[in-house]
Amino acid sequence: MSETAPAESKLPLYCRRCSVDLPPTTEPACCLACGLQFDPARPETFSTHRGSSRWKFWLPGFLLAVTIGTLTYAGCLQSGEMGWSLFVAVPVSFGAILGYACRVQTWAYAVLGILAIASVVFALVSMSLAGIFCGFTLGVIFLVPTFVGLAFGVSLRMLLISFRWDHAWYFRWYIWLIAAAPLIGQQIESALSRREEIAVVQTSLTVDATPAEAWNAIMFYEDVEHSPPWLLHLALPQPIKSEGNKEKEGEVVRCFYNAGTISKRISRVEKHRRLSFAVVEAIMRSENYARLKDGSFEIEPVGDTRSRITLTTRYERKLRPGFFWEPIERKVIHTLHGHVLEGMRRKAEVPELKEKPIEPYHPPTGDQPMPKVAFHFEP
Amino acid sequence: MTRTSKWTAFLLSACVPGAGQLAARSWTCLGWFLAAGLVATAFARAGQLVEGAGWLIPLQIGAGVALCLLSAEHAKRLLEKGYRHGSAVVNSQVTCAGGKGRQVEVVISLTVARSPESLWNQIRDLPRFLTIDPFHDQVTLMRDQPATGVDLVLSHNAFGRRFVRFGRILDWQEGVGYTFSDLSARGPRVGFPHVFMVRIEPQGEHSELTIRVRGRWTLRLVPVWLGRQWIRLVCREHARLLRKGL
Repeated sequence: MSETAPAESKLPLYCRRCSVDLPPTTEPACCLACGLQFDPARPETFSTHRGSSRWKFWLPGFLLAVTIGTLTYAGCLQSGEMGWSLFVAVPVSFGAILGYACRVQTWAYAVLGILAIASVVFALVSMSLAGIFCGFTLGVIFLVPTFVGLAFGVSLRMLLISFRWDHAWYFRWYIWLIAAAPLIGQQIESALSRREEIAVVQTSLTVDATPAEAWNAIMFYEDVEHSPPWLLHLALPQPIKSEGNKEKEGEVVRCFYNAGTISKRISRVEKHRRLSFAVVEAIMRSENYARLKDGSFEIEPVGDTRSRITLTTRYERKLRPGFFWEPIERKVIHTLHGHVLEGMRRKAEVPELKEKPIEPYHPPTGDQPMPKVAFHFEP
Repeated sequence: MTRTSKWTAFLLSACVPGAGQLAARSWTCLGWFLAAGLVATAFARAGQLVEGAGWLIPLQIGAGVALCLLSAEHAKRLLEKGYRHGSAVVNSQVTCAGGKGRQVEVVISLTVARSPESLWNQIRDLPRFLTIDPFHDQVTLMRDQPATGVDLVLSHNAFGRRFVRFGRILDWQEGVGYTFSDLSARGPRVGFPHVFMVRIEPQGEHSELTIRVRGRWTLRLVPVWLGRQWIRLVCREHARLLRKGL
């Protein structure tokens, strides 16, 4: 605010309460509209701008941050590498621009940060660059990096002000450097060789059926009849059918989804004991996130009338950083295995009911024994 | 560099324990970072040990929220104004005087080890004295000297949200006390319109400072009894700040 008396500098004066023009005077007076007192000699008793122009302090910066966030995400996605640049550098970048370009109160930064994340995710989902589940997950993953970037942007602006730099952000090269940082990072990340990470997920379930009955109940995800849990609905493509003989070694089984196909070769068959398969071809977008390599069903007798079915799958992990994505991958694969094993249990334990209507499926809760999952990595 | 607001520190620490202390340039941030790291590690380990336990997630959420709130309150207190060496306040009391219907009345009484004249010199400095309040950020007198009929602009900052309210000195008795209103910018019938009545009475060698807050609870979504409890809580915080600032 100017320290010179505005009455002398001929600046328009506005009421602090109702924002209307104050009468030109050099003596203490009152607003003609609301009656609030003011003193032209004391700048703190009136305003030099109308309250309605406050959007200028945040809207351009907000729109710039959302646009840059969406464009840099789309740009990084083109390289096919889904790592630190995409999931960390992009939100840090648009958060920093938001913090630098917006001049608002602390609480408004928090609101703008959340709104910017929601807007970027909405734009990505609208442009089919992410599905609904991925969009929701991105929203959660973006939270911390965006707010780190926001704090950086605010600090940068305050630092420049303290150095008495002209912080007219739209002319400054460092804003464009911040915007380009994810794309530069993506190029570096793509150029670096990366280690293949294999996740092995193993799930076991004991069923009231003999190994022969359990063997006859072996099915892939595409064959499960009951409705999958909501997580699988959102996270995975919807299965349609599978074609091919699963009990013949060397046979290729084609699995059809609403978003592509996967061909699995039956690599090993030991009747009533083990069935292994390997993926020979996969044409699906979800393969960009985690690529199924192979898997097996193992059946062990437990006493005379029970069997333990162990479903093992191996995936190549594509998403980085690993610690961000591991809990989500673990949850989805755990749910997928649980769904397939539940389908097998239903078929094996009551084979005579196969033709009858199936009771509604309830996902396992904490009260019920959950299948154990071993989640480890092979170098 | 501008001074960090206590509510900024509060919000920072509420999000990341220790961040507010760092903004306040206090070494205690290291302790809070360590505590947050230990809690996160302990819960990650507990998650592996008792996988699938239904009680773990509520416990994690509860402990996380408690840690964040404790850290936030500590960060806020680091940035509160006050005398470093002792306080002149001997005794303080906050009482809820009740009120009919939607009226709310809370009284803060403080016994201050100062003469009435000395205390009056302190409390007649409105821009300073009125900002010893949990939510008052800045007070602007619209005339050079306080007197009956002078308007006030009361800049508030509540949990980081800044807003301006308007008031007027309704009564000014030199050496005895004053009364002023604190009204919403939207009008005198909304947004908890209230008045502060500040009085000084001699009590032997000490002085008795009484601040009576009388207002009307206008928020229909929140019941009056809850509103009274909230105002009482705010007045207790006000009394704590006065103990620190007088």
